[in-house]
Amino acid sequence: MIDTRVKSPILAFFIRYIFFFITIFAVYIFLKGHNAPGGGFIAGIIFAISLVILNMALSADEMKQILHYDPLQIATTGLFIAYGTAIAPVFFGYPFMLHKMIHLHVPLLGNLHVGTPVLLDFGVFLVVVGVTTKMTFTFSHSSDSDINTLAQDESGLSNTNEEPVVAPTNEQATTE
Amino acid sequence: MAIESLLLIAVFLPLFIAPVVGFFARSLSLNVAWIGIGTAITSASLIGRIIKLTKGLPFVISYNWVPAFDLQLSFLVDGLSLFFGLVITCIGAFVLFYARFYMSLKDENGRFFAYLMLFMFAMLGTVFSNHLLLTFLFWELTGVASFLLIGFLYNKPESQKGSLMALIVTGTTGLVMLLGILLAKSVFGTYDLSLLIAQRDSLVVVGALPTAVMALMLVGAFGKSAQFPFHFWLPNAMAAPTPVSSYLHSAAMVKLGIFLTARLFPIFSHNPYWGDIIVTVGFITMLIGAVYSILSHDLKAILAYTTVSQLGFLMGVYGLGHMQLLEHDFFHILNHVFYKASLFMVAGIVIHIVGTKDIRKMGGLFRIAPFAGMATLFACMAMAGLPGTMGFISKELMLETLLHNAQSHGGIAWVWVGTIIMSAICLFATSLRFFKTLFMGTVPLDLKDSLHAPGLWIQLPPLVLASCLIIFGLNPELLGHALAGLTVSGMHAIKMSHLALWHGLTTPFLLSLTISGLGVGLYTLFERKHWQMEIPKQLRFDTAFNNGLEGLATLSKRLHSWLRLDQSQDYLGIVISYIVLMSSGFILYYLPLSTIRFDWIRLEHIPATVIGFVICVFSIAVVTQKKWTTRLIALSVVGFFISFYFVIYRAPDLALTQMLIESVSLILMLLLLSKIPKGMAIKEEASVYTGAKKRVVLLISVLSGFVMMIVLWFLLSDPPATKLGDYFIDKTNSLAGGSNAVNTVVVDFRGFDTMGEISVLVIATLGILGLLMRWQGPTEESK
Repeated sequence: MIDTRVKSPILAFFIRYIFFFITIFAVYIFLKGHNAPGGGFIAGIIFAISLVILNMALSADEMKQILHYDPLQIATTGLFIAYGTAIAPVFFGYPFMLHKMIHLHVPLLGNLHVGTPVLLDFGVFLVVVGVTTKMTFTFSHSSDSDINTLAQDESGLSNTNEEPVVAPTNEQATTE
Repeated sequence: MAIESLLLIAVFLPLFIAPVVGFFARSLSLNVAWIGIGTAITSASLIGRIIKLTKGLPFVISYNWVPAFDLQLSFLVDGLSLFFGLVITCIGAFVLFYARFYMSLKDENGRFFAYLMLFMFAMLGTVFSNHLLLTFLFWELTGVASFLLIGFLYNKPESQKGSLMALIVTGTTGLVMLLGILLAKSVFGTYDLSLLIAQRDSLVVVGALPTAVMALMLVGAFGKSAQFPFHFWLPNAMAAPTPVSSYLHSAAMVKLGIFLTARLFPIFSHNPYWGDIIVTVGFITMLIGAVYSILSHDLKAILAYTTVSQLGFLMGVYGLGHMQLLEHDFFHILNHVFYKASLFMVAGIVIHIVGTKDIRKMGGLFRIAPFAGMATLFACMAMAGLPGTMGFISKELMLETLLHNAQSHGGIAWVWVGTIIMSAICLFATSLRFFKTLFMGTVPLDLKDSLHAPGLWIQLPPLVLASCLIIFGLNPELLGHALAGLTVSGMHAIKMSHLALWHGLTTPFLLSLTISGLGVGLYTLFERKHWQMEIPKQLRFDTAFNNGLEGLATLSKRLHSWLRLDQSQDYLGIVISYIVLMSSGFILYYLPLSTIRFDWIRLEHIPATVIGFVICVFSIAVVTQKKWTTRLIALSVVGFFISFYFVIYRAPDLALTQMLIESVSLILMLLLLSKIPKGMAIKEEASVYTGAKKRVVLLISVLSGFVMMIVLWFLLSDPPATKLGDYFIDKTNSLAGGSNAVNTVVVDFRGFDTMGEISVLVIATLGILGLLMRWQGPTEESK
């Protein structure tokens, strides 16, 4: 396994803690999205950035332990949540994508308006997180020539009968 | 219980059991098959109960499903659907029992049995459906389920090829059938099968359009039932585990084409082309299958070709019926179901014993697997059509019909008599060879040590099925009585002739004797040549099909390399020049320059102008700077200043998003640029474009900028009277319950767009991953 972690120990230490603050900020941005700037897309990118930064401080194995799931699984889960929210009203005899708002009075927090659009937004959040991190991780594995991790990914995602895309060799690079 | 609930349970039970089976497979392993067997038996007994309740009268159950498409969840209970329902569930139970002992513990049993249950559901749905569109849905579902089953051992290349071939052939012919169904709706005005059958006397089935409907739907039937010229997929589907072969490819799925033909029989049998089309296709298939079966040496391929042959025979039964009504079609079908299912099961056992599929390397297995040997003896007797079996009666009946037909019509009808005699001779030789080579003689020397005896239980299902052939062969009236309760009006004769073991010394019997003699002769001839013959290369449709598929791939690759540009940024030039051409053409044609006004310029635009100026300066820097670090910083500055724009125009969401996107792309670019080998990086800095290309790119860039400016000017001179944005801002609280209009637009007002966008995002990621993972970084020397 090739060590791709950042060289500076100070930065590596710092990253591990700043991760939590960024994540909390992402959750905050997500929750207030319906009434103030924010929402699933923005929160997704923020969370993805925090994961990407964390990836710089950790090795690929550690990262896998933290995430548990492949980012692509996260993205597809988000997709299903979004579809599910959209289709669910149909089963209750309402039109497709009808939203449902619930108004609750919670002690200490005050009036709480929750609705199914939040679920759709959560789906968007997961998709953005999954897609962004998957691309970045694969990109960093690929540019680090981390063959093992790539091969694991590849066996699950692509048709092994296809020919791989070969990087331009030295001669081609110079003639172009 | 009422018939409605009985039928719904019988049809839908396998569907609900499928996930249960998949779930419990972890804890029960192979014993999960018992759940499946219980399901099949339950469904079968429910169908049996329905037979008692309806007493053979047609019965329709209808629920609205998708009224917009005129689609109803409508089921037709009559003799035909009940007969097929019984066959599917009973043989299903036998096959599941067999699979319980056939599959090994290592296999993914949950997946296997769940697929089988899904398949059973699809089959039941197809035979019971009363609505043509519903039939099509279930029809294609059987195709999907069979694709999953044939490709069960998905790591083997022949499984991949075979399952794909089956899916493409049956799927494409299924689509042709859909065409026929849609045409039928516009010609006859209904999708309802029971209605069509009831109105068959007043229905006009002669003429160009009804004939087209019939032909298109028959193509679907021919594809599914592996009729010529689609016969080649069936032998290739033999890559499936043997229980699948014995279920799908003998008893169930390939019979669907026969089923559809039978379903359409009352409607279309008055069409003058009905008989000609079906008999021609069916009998050609019968002959091809029989000849190929004797030229094959793979145990399962032999059986596959005999199946093809027998399916052609069954097709022919329905084609010949057009002159009078049908009599014993169910008897013919049952004969084939019994003997072919048991032969496939035996083939699985034998392949397991000897570890090879080549029939030429086998022999003397009777002592090791006596019950399987008995089953093979009975089944081969039926396949050869020897007296005392159902096969004999089936063949006699067919010969009698054909001779009768030939005597009254003459001409081409005699050709069909010749065809059936020739294929019967081939099948006789194949049956003889199958039994003799497998179970008689001595065990080949090289196999002696590797043999291991099969268990008793696994030999039971084939023996039971094969015994039926003898029992009903000796007492045909037993079956005749049972089947008489399943007659369909408009299809079957009201009073059937009696089935009998012995018809006397008739012409068919003499023909049978001749066939047996010639069959033995053919066998001895091939035995002397040591079975060296192969199927001629020119007549192998499957290789032709594969070549065609490969040719298609090659063609698309050629087309791609012809259209492809070497550098991806070159596409940008093409796209942008197209936009420039289109929008400038539009402006020149529709908008006179006099509409440009300047009165919208006001003092409050000054901050935006300053920002715009900064963006311009840094954009120029991106292009003109030499070092990539400087360019990258300039590009980021451009991005961040654009977000200021959003702030000025009261779009904090967009500003936030823009900044975050800038951050992510900065990280990505740094990742990329830090990994570029030094030598290449220097080259990149110089310039991508040189010489004439540089001038062209410059021209396109300047033009596009200019055109964009003009477009904006027009937009600002003549702002639209009403803005969509105002509506959303106005209604965001009352309609979407949120005060952030940007967010409510994304997740509520235009939520459908968002769903599409996130789907595209995931799909695009899959495509990008393909490229990223395969990118084998630059070689060590170039670093």
